[in-house]
Amino acid sequence: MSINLEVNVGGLVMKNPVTVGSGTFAYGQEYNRYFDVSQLGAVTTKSLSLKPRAGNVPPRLVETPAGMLNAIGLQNVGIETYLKEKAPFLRERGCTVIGNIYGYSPEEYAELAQRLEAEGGADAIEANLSCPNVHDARVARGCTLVAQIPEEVKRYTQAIKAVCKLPLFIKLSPNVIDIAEPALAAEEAGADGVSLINTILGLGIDPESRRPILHNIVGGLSGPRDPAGRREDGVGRSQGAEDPHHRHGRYLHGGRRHAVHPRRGHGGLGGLLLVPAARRLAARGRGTSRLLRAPPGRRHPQPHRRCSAIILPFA
Amino acid sequence: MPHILDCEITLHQEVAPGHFRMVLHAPAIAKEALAGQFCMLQVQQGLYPFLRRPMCFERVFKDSVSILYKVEGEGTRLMAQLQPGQQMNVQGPLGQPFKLDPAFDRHILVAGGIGVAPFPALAEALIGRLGKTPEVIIAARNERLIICDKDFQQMGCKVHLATDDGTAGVRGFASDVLQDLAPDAKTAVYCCGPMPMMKATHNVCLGTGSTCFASLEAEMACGDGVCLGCVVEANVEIEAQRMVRVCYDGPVFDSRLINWERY
Repeated sequence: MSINLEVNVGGLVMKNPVTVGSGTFAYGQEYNRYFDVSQLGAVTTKSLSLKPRAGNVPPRLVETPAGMLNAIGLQNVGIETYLKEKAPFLRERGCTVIGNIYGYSPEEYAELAQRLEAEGGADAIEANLSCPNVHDARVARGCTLVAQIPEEVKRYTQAIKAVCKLPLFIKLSPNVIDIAEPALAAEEAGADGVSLINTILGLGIDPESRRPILHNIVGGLSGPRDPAGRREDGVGRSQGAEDPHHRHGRYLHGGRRHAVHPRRGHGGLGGLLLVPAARRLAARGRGTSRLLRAPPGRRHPQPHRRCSAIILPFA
Repeated sequence: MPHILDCEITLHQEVAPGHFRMVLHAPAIAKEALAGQFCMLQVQQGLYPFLRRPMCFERVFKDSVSILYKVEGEGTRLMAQLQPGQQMNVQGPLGQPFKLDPAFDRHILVAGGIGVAPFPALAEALIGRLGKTPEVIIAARNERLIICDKDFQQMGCKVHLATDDGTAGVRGFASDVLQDLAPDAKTAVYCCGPMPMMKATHNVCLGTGSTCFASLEAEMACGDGVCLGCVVEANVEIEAQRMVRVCYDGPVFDSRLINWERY
């Protein structure tokens, strides 16, 4: 007996509601050694920029009790090499691809999205407006992330939407007072969903030297954060994380994964991908942020809440 | 292809203060593992410690593999408490092995401290596959922390020791001993140990025209080349290739690829 797990996420049809967090899966080749990566509902790529990036100087990792801090700095092969060498691999296997993009300006994002669409490099776009580890870009904007300023989120979203017809998800940062504001801004500007959440800014100190461990000083926290971490981050807690099956997500390394639910619009990612319009949730009388901040154990009344994550077992 | 398997610990012994040898029953991994490769060990079930620990193979037997490790942090501290008979989840073999090149006449292994870990398997491979018995330099802080020297002697290797305090072998660095052994252009040097020691070894090799292969250590998250957490800087101008992954492109590198200025 086969079960139809197909979902339509803001216009992106996935054969099942499981994808991976950008940056935890490179471009799919390495993990294809373990299992056929096309079994995933979608492969989300590492953030792609117009030019290749070497990323930050190591050390780039700090292990934490329930996760890790990373400060990779968006090391990636660049859009050119991706389209030439990485995308064909995913396409040959019939993978559904969410192309994650990163740039320094709305124009760069628009160009990246346009190229991915025109050259068949992705079925949907995830715009990373929220990487906490790229200081040059932050300083250029007065030490803020795009995702921290709703008006900017709107401007970037519009720029991408104007040139690219693929479903567009905006990846937001938890490092804000109220994530509903940028989420609503993304929606107003025409985004098809928001990816929640990027990592939580954190600092790892070496107790011996009393110096930061990361060369970048700060990094982004990710991982199951379960259960104590949930209370800490609040925003990132998803219903998917309550699902006992979801805990196995960590076996997919890196600890972060998206799971998507078509109607509820969210699953787990150490964060999650929030699919239906934030406005619809707001119209129901519960703001996006409130919905996400429900304390552990409290259930929302929707009957379909339990199936927010389907986890693909490793090997 | 790497495997992810629950493996039984068949032997676990302290070989020097704070240094342990663990033998794991892992037929599928042993069948494919090569000298220089490593495995990722899940120290205990559950979420803590969160990341697996990368450990290179000390020896590869028919049905099992052995690893050598030093208690450094929380993960290895917990590992040291495991008993034979207990299970551990092992992922491997991972990474690029040492290349066995018959073009070299002479092979010298240079180990610093726990950096001796990949060399018993390498010595075996050099003897077994190339018919070349390597010379071995083992450096450590003191006599008690010299490990595996007898294993190499049993294989017929000439072993040179160096300690910081002169309690065994010469007082000084591994690179000084290497310099005295006068490697030449037909010599392959393999080093593993602390970064400054490998940098010094690399410099001796540059000066003598010999080829140096360095087995690097790094903290890792995935071990599979996807997260880019374990990278080191290479002497490559091309931006996209400047950071090389210890777990996937390495851990064994031609030392000329690494930008030692950084270390």
